[in-house]
Amino acid sequence: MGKAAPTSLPADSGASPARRGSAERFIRLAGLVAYAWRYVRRSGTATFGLTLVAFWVAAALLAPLLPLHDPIAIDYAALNYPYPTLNHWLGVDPKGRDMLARIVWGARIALGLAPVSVLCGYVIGCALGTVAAYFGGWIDTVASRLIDVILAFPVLVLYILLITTVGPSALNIVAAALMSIVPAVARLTRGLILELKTRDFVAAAQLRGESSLYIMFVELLPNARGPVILDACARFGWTIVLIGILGFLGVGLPPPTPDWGGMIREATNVLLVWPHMAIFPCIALATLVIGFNLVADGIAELSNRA
Amino acid sequence: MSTTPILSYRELSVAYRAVGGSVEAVRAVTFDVEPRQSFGLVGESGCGKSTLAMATMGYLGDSGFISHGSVSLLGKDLVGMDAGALRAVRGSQIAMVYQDPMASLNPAMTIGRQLTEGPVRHGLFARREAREQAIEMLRGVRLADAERMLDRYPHQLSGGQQQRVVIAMALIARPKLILLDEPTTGLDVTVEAAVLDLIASLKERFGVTLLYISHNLGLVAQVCDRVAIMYGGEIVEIGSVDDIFKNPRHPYTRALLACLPGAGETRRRLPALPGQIPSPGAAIPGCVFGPRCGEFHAGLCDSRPITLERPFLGDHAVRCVRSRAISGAMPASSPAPLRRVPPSSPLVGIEGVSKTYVSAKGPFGLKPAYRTVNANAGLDFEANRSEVLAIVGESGSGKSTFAKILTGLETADEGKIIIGGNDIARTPARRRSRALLKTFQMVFQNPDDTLNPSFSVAAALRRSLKKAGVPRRDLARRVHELLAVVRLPQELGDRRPYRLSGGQKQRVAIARALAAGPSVLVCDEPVSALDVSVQAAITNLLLDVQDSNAMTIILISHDLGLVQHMADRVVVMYAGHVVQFGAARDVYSRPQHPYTEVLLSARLNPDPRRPTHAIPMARRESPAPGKGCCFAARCPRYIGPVCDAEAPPPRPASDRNVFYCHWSPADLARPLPAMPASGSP
Repeated sequence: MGKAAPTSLPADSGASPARRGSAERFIRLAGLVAYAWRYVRRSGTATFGLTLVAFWVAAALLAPLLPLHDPIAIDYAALNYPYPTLNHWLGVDPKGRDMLARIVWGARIALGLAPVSVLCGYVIGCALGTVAAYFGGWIDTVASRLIDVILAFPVLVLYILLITTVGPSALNIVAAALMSIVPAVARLTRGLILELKTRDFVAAAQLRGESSLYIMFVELLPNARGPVILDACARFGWTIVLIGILGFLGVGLPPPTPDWGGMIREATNVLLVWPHMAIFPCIALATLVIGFNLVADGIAELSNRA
Repeated sequence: MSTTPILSYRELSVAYRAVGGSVEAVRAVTFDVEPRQSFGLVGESGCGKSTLAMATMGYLGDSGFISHGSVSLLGKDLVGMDAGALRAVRGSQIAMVYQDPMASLNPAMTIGRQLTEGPVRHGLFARREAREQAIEMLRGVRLADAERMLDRYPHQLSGGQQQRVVIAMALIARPKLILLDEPTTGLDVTVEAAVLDLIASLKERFGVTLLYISHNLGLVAQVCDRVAIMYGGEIVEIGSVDDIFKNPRHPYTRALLACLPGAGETRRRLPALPGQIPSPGAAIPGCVFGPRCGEFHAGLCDSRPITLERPFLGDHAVRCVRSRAISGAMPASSPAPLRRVPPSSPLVGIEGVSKTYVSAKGPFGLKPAYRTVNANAGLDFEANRSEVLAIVGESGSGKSTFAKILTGLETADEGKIIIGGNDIARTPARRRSRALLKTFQMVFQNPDDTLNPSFSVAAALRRSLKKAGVPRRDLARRVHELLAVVRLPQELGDRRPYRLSGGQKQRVAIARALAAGPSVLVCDEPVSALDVSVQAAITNLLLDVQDSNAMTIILISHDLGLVQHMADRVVVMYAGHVVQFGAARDVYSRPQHPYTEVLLSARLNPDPRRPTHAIPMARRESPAPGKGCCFAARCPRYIGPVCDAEAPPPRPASDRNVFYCHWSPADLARPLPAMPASGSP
């Protein structure tokens, strides 16, 4: 057994359907979600991880609707007693801003920038790795050496260099994340494609006159999806940590944006006096990252079991 | 039966834990293996024979367990034994030889260490003594230069040498019983014959008992005294080798024997078994084989559990209620050869095609020592329209490389491949015209690799048809037609490859190749990865489509029986050279070239009364490799320096048969001394 999960989604059993009513499409989507949930429920690890992730996604999405304080409004009075109170459930930060609001709004930063970085990183990395592996020869040599060089570089120094030169912005954070996501993904994909391209179905595609582009992205890459999706889940968590690190080093989004890394940085000066100001954002960061990692573990577990 | 059996199974059932209960893989197996016997356990994949072996060794893993019955070794029950005692038994009384020698040798350890580790750990020998024993054992398995062999690593040995080392490893602790799980499946025919001969002689020398587990009926017929046939987790027939092969009574045994190609008339329709092996745990009332059985009688065969009975003289037992009624002639096979269109004019001409692989090997890639590997050296022959041209040879003879050059997956260094007046030897597939691509299509060896796991059967066929220029509105109809041609039910079109059996995958691969309407179908070992009964069905299908489309098949195979069955003409290759080329009937009846002679002599007949006498190959140093005859170093009919120095001239043995040798056809009529491939049963 051991191969990829042989459970097919109900959605791909038929050929692409003709136009359907929106109600029918909704039922179909709901069915798909219900199916996915039943699939995930078979693994406790994945269920728990997905619950953690879903909690933060919901928090990020609902942030404007929730009855929260303004995350950048300053409440000097609260600084007299910055601990959790009925008014400020998680207390306030060193500048007197509500912690709960900042953490909930901070989830939007983490969950906004990480998917963009991971998605872009995967598009570029998969393409690079696939092309290098499929063509081989000098293309592969150049691409592989480039990957080695970037991966050998002290990445953090590279980020700081990049961001201090061009200034902190969401785009630059994504660019910094890409610098480490792309080579890692390219290397992973390259290995998978190198193995896949020796399979006979690739020779069969060549014999029916398929173009290299078709073979690479229609015949080969979809078959690498298992490990790639697995890696993507783990990389989500990793990228959130990276964004946190950038915020902590002061090269993340500029204040007063509610960014978890930045919050921890601001709390370091008062860590011994008011430790909760650092602990709460740390817990937020940790639960989200653990959530993604557990989802990755759960998927691996499910695909091995099936 | 006064002696204690070495190995004794009593009502043994083995099950695997699965979601929602357990699945029985082996059911109520009862038989004895007597001392010094060669026992053959035969069955197709999924019949439970490997599970039985693993249960015997106590290697069932976490999910498998013995649910009922017992296995005992020399009267001691192995089932309840604790881990320590079991380990002692495994080290000293049972040994196992696995199918893939590379997988049972540790690549990071020298041969010497691997050989001595076990016996030293079990306290059989001291380390120094173990080393002497290891050298002795390596000599015993006829490995030259045993002392130096001890310091080598597994990757430095050939497949045959590795399997000899594994056998030496099994023998060094002087076990009473050796389990051999497909011991020669990955080896070439000539190496297989030598390894089997070796095992037989070691059996005599050390008095061990052998339990062969194999799907190869030829092997079992040649080397075993007693045979059990397994199907669906049960023993369906058990008896002496003569009982099983000369007087088979169970319909499954009979079907297996009847569908072997190579015996009887060529190109006849092989009586393939319908249906598939039952999935483990499938609830079949009565006889497990019932759903596929031609002798099935409703009400009789499916009413009650069928037991193993002994209705005949001797110790021949059959699990079939109708065994008394089934006898005499084997299942009828259609006598009519599958041929309506006879071969005609030459279609593809191959002139001096050469391909050399250069492998640069040097420490750290600093100083590349170039080594050239001749994959194809000056091939000359032609393929006719509507014929089956077989290319036979051992692994590494260059037959697959030739197939790749023909289809454009590789290009030749020199020579010409002429089709329709054009030379295509150096045109890779990506530069071939659509029409040329459609001319050559290919069926590959491994059914698991041949289909893209992401696409459904219908999607794969649609794509192939579309690339062959079929208009969009005809696609659905043509997919239906193709599925019908390869005799697959239409509903399979929606399935992805993981939900297909090996035979079904291979049918889809044939349909995909046919989508282009090729005039040449290159089949690279098309059935070697399939079970015997499935092989027959695919062979029939290939001959059917070849005939109805008046297509040329270039069959690449090491299976001499299959080649004899299918081929009109045969090209025999050795080390990239054509050594003989002629009509299949002539090549098989009068193998002229010494290599053809060796190859055919090593065949394992599925008939215990026609023992294999494999001609041993010589092993001498070739003074100038690359010059002279390619077979000079291994030739049992070596003449002298002329063989090393001069390329052998073509010798026309008849107007349809050419071979390359310094001997004349008259000289070669003299027979060679042969060695028996096995101890006499």
